[in-house]
Amino acid sequence: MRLYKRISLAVLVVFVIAILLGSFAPVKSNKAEAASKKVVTFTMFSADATVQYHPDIFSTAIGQEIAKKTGVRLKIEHFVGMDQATKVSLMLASGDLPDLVYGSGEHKQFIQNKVLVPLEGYIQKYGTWTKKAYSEADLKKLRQADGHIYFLSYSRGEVSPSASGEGLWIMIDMLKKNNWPRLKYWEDLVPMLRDYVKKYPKYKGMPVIGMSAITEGARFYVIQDPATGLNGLIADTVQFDPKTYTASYDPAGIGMYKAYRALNQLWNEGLFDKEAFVQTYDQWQAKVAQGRVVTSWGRSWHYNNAFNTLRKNGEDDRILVPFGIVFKGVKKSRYIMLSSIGTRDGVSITKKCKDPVTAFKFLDSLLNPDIQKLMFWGIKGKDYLVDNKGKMYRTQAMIDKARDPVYQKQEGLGYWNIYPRWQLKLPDGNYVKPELDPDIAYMQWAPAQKQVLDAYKAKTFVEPPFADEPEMPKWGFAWEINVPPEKQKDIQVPLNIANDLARKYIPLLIMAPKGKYDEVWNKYKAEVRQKINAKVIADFYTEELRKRMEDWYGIKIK
Amino acid sequence: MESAIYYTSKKTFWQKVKEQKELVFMIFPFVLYVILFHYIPLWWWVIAFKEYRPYDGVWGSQWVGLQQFRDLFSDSGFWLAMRNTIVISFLKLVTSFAAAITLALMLNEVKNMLFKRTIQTISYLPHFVSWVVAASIVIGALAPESGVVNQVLMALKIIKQPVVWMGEGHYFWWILAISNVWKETGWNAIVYLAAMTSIDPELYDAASVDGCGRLQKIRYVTLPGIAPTISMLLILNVGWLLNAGFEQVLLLRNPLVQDYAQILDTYVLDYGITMYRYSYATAAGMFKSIVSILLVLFANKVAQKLNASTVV
Repeated sequence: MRLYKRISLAVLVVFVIAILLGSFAPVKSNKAEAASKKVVTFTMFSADATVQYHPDIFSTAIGQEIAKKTGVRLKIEHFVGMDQATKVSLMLASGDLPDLVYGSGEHKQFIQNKVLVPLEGYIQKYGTWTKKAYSEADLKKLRQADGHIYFLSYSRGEVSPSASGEGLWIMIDMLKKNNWPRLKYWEDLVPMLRDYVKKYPKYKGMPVIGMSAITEGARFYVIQDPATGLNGLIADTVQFDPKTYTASYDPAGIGMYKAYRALNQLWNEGLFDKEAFVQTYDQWQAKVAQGRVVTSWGRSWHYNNAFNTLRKNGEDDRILVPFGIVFKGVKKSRYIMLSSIGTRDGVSITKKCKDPVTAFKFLDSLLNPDIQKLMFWGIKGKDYLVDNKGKMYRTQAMIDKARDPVYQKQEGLGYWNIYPRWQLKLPDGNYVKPELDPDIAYMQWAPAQKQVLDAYKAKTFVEPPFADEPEMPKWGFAWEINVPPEKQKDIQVPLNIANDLARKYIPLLIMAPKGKYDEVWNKYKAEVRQKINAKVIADFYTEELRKRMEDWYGIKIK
Repeated sequence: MESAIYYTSKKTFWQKVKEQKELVFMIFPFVLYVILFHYIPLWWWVIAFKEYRPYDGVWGSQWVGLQQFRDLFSDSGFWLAMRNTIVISFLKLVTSFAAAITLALMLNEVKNMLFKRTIQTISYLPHFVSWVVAASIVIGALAPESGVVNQVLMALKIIKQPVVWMGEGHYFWWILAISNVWKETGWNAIVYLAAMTSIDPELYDAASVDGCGRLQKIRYVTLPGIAPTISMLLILNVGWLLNAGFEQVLLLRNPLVQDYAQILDTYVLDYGITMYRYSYATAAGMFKSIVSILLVLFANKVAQKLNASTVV
């Protein structure tokens, strides 16, 4: 018995020591490390879902360099999953906020719930670089409804020459086999598509799909694009008439009728993907990557993985390129629109942050051109070179390396999109990002993509014949307007109901059997008219957009 | 009975606590758990009667009386969700009970231990797979072109063209029920198998002597033997009747079946939490809890009645 007690005592002692060591030792070493370098660590939440997140960006070569120069390290928690709104909603309800926050599409909720620190005072006091990188007009636009600035937008309304464009995406192989036609009208595209699928019904033993689309979950907006895109409208909550300065809202408008009837015809011919409405995003990506989707609806960033796979497999002529397809009679395609500055989101400091001054100084120091180069170009000599005129450039080998996801992850390249940045060029005349440089932009395309550009005598995919000249709506976008909480019930709830109705009826419209289309459409229209008061919504946006014209440009509309 | 009265009258409460301090000590964390996670949150029900905004705090938010409930009951979407919830969980309840009992009865008849164990292990394995994985297996299996279900049915010449299983509302209810059976039957059968082992073997011998065959033994010995277990589980499950399986529905639904897939939990998520209408979400959740309590009480009453009749 005594022996047993002794053994158990020994075990207990060992346990206690282990626990003490385990819990204290790493903290000590951390502190020592922090003290020697004087690096402050801030916590951050990022809802950015456009890049594969990095587990610890500040441990990469670029991240370490930035931490050394700014004295700040971020410990970033990334959003995972599909539904940002749920995550942000629960975060706000719990009150458990990090020091810095980036809410992406849900960023407005942080503003409306008054948990962010206004920045305009700090900009005045410490914003050395901010004042250089953002003009007075820019800052004016960043003022929210309550008159405060909460973030420095990263989106600056440039058309990137390396952007893969927007529109209806069409497979290169079909263009090649038709001798590079100039496509603009839906009516010209459809016969071509019909012939192509008839002639080449299989690719590598699998059926070829005439037209596909993403419809899963939050990405459902993609299948709403035809309604606006084909009719030459912008993809926004409301349409704004620049002559009368009034917004109009109609979830069952005449343009929609026409667009889905067109898709319905494809469906009944067997050209539209039979699985379109039951497939997941991954399944759609897989089909594109198998090279058997001839045309598809989707936004440029949805295609990245699939195109990389095709390129790796040497099937780059199965890649899709965008065309601003519209109905005959429509003058201009408006798939690509520019915002002078994104007024919706950016990195903000929360009221939970114990040292907002340091946090702001960090954001400001990111605008230092040296750090901007680190963030977007990488490390000198390794990721870019400088010629004797001071121009930054990349060799083909560097461009290829920068496209490799493994290298990106290890270097820390391509993870800095949401942070404040300069517009187009740095003060020394170099482009902020390598992608903005037209020479580098051209070099990054796959051989077949270069072939397309050469065939159409174009330099980029964001110019004719792929897209019409991009416009910049002076009033910005209605989808960037934050609906105040007290209007939630009158505006946001009906908008969500309208979205749910669209979710229900767009598939039914497209899949309607021959001759049944009008019946489904009438049902949809009746339900929309009964459930949604469009006038209240239109009036709200009219008022908000007019207010913007006044706040931003001093143009008063009565 | 007598001894219990004697016992309590002799010792005070605190004496008893002292005497059974080990037991009290053991139960303590669980009582604490229930208080922390089940009773304290009830306090938050107060926000169902307010227009709650996080920055105003619970007390700073405005009282709105029964407005949230009025909104809730006047929304046709809510009643649709209610219908779907009840239908889906009723389907799931019936199918999972029937399947689990059948499987348990069948396994009980198997005499080869190796075979029995193998089947049991295989059948309860899916229980340990999360719905995230299970849902993609289900969606993959039911895919029109590449899915195994369509391929098998086509090969057997049962159907001519691939069926878009996930695209039809009324299929969706059965897909939920059947995928739930696939995932949980093996696991649910365990408790019945356990109940069966406690049946006195002499009863079977007696039944044999009386000339019972296999099926008759199941009918007259096994089933009555596990009847108390069945009724108890049924009562317990009725309390969950308004929980139609949040994760499963969330992961399996798609726009085509929205009218059949919207259940109370997804409704709370879609029209409450993701729209930052915390009060509305709470009102819906509160309604659900109250109905659940009523259902349990009702089921309990029914069971008492039935028990009373069987005893006499």
